[in-house]
Amino acid sequence: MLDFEVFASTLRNVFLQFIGIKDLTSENLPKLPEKFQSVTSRIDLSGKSSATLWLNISHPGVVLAMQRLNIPNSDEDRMMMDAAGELLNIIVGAAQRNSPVRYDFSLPSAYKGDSYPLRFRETTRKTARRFIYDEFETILILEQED
Amino acid sequence: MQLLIVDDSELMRTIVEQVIRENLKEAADRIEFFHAANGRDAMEIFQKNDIRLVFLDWNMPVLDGVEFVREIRSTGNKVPIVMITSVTDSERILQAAAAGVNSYVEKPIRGPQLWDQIGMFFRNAGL
Repeated sequence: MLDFEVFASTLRNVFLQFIGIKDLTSENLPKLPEKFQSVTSRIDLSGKSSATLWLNISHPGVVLAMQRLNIPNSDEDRMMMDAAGELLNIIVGAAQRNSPVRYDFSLPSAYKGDSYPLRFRETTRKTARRFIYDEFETILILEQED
Repeated sequence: MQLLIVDDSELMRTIVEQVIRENLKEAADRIEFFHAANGRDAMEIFQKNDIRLVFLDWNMPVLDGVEFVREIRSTGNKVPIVMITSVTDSERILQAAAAGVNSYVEKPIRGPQLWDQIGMFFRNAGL
């Protein structure tokens, strides 16, 4: 089994180093939202454990992140999806070093919309945490087989 | 000087070019920047131009970074190649070195830290 805490702590580190956001508060989500907002990226993990890591970021969150990175056109859908995918890609890659379970990972894919469901497999265990900083809000979800 | 930045993320390509421009200031005007989103497009650009430095992601669609490096090195070309990637698995990093990558930079990295690692390639090129 992959350890959710490895990904959660890496997320904090990536957001600090890459975007300069620190002091993220967080809360565990015992139940996943039925609908998601703005941008979601996903990466499939394979190896001894197979899993999917999801990252949902609020619209102000993505815009803030890209402003801090001095990215022009930061409100364009294409760039927002690119940013969400790349952030998750960096988290998954950086977590590889601290994970006791070795894994490979796919290229990211990303979705954007106003209110949409995410299709999780019924048989999987989902661990989720919401991270908040001012208007910045992101949800990290690890979905894996028991 | 012609320089090639290869990453499937436009965001990352923009950040790498920004860091180079900010640090080289007016000397950056002597650089022609080429961007590619995968190894296949990068190869096409590489073959049609006189690229003197390559910044390269690993995980990309169509042709990945290490495959791109192997193709370049198989022709005997010694262009400096800097891999900027999220891959941190030590076995895979060794693969990249064996393929002929000159320098390896792990994401997340930007700004002064990135320049610390890539600045020497521009100094070596007289910029």
